[in-house]
Amino acid sequence: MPQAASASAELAPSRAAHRRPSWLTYSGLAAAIAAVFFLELTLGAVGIAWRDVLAALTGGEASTEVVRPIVLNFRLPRALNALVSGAALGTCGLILQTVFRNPLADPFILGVVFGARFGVALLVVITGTAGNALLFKYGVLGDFAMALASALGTVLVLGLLLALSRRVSTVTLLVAGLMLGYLFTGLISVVMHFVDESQARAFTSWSDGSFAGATFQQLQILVPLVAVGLVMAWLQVKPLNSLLLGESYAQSLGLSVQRTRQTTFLVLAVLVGTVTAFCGPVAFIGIVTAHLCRLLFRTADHAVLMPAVMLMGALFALSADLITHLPWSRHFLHMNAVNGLIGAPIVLWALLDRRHARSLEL
Amino acid sequence: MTPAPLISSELHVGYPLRPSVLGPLDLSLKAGRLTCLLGPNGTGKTTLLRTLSGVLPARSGRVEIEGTEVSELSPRRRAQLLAVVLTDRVTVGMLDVRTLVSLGRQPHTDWRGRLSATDTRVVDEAISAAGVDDLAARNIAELSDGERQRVMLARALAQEPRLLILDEITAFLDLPHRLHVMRLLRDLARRRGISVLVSTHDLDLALRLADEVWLASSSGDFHQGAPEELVLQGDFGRVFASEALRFDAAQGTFRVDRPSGPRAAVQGDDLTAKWIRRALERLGYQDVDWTSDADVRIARRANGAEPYQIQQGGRVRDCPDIAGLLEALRQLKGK
Repeated sequence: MPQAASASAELAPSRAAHRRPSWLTYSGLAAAIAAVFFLELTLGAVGIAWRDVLAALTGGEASTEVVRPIVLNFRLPRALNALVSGAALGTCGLILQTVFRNPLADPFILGVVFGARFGVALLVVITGTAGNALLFKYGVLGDFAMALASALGTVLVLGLLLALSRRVSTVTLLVAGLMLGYLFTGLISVVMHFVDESQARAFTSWSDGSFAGATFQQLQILVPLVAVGLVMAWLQVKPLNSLLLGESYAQSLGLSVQRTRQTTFLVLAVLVGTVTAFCGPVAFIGIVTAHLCRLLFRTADHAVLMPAVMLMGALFALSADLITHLPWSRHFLHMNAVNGLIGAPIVLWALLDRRHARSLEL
Repeated sequence: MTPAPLISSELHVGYPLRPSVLGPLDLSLKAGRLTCLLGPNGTGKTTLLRTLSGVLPARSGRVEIEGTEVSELSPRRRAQLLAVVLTDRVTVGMLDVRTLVSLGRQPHTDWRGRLSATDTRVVDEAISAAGVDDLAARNIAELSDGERQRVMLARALAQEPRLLILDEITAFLDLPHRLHVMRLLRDLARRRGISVLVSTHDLDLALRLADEVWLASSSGDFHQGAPEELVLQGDFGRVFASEALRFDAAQGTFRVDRPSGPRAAVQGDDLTAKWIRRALERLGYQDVDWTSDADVRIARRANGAEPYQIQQGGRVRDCPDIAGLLEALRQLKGK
């Protein structure tokens, strides 16, 4: 060995490890996002010419007047929602995977989104029985309350997972997360039993994830909260990097593990909480995004990955949403079905791939 | 004069809600010295290292790093003074060695963890010092356990600590690498004037290379001193004494205890005779002098295709090589 060391010392210190500039890939992702975003506005049950879309967006003159409300009132909020929520969920996937040191972690797989939904269900019950549909009565306040309840539900599941993660292995934690998901789905059904029928129907109508349902008013809450969440996530790049080495090493590098965990849970609560409150349980975007970004950038460095998952998450969500509302002649695809079609194979691949298996200690 | 890198007084170590494992300990580490922590399994070596590095709170007593109580140091300041290499397995996909070593700069970098020119230079030096230049572009997940430990050492060096604490760094390494790492640690201590504390099961290397030895025993006794002193005082023998092992102070190594089988005498005193005696010991024979009374004698003949002769009672048997000789002796013993 000592010979080997001195031999390679004569070579230039291996700066060759420096990657090609990431900003090129970032720009590519951003361009793809812009393209899909525009397609979201043009494609749908009614096809709209790109000229008319531009006209509607810029306030110019469109060929027909029906176009403007379709673009501005339906497609634009939906596309904005997908853009913002996708970025949020992609970020959550990356953070969860690092915090739980589990490459298969995801807000949906670990049951976190069901905890969020449970929070909202409880709120619906409490307000429904106490003040008769507070949600509809108090408008913005009701929407805020929903986001808050959802965030609290997120923290509840994260806490349970944290307690479990100390006792069980990587794969067992996934099973545990899955069970937590079922448990909270069951609890939601029980809770719904105490709500009047119309509200229960309204609640279950978005038990499947969708970016189509959020109102403008909800977007006014969602966009700023997610923006705050993403900035906070970006501030966690350095602590998350040291957590890659495990808690003991992270601590030895000067990290306060306790404080980092509190901050990241807060970030997750804000992001998963708000998105789930307004879009329902969206599947797989977190895990798919994180894996695609690692493959694309060939690194685990959060300084590179954090902007990447935001872009990739937005791109993935926009694309999945686009597929669900393409003008299919007969069928209607649910978004989680699309996400599952893409996401499940990626999770399976991660489980079976040898290099991943090694880092899972299977 | 700068205060000592590490001092402990009346220190008790252990986990909460359980009896303390070791203590009271009054320890000190000096700058520029390599200290080896030795002791059988389960004597609390890792617990002591975790306490000294501030990861685990002391049960009672004080640990001071450069004059400040370790629990009063900010995490960042502590990380600037002290680096550790643990037995924790680091399993991360898609992380190259260079990026991992760069993480060692975290206590010195800004809130985003960006590397300055100085940081990059320190990382380069750390990689060379740990002898992992040829691994720099490799992925952590692809490395062997031994390679990974050397990378973790490079990362610790990148921290530029005053004090380096390593837990069984040599456990996964083969003999040449063990020697390389231990010599590297000693040289680092000398050259950079830092104090290095390493726990190891490699008694032989520790005795040869350590400036000071800390010896933890199963009975809870703790000895510290120059390695030679501990050998001469018999502390080594006592701490590691067991039914099967005996510390040979003359040789400075451990020997498998003398079995009580049939007595065998080997002719001669050369290298061949020495190794035949070792083989006999393994087979369960007692080694006795050629001139004394023996159950079996192994005579040596200078010429011929069968240089070894087993003499037992009136019977003799010639053997072409040592394997044949041992096979015959096994059969004899079986009877």
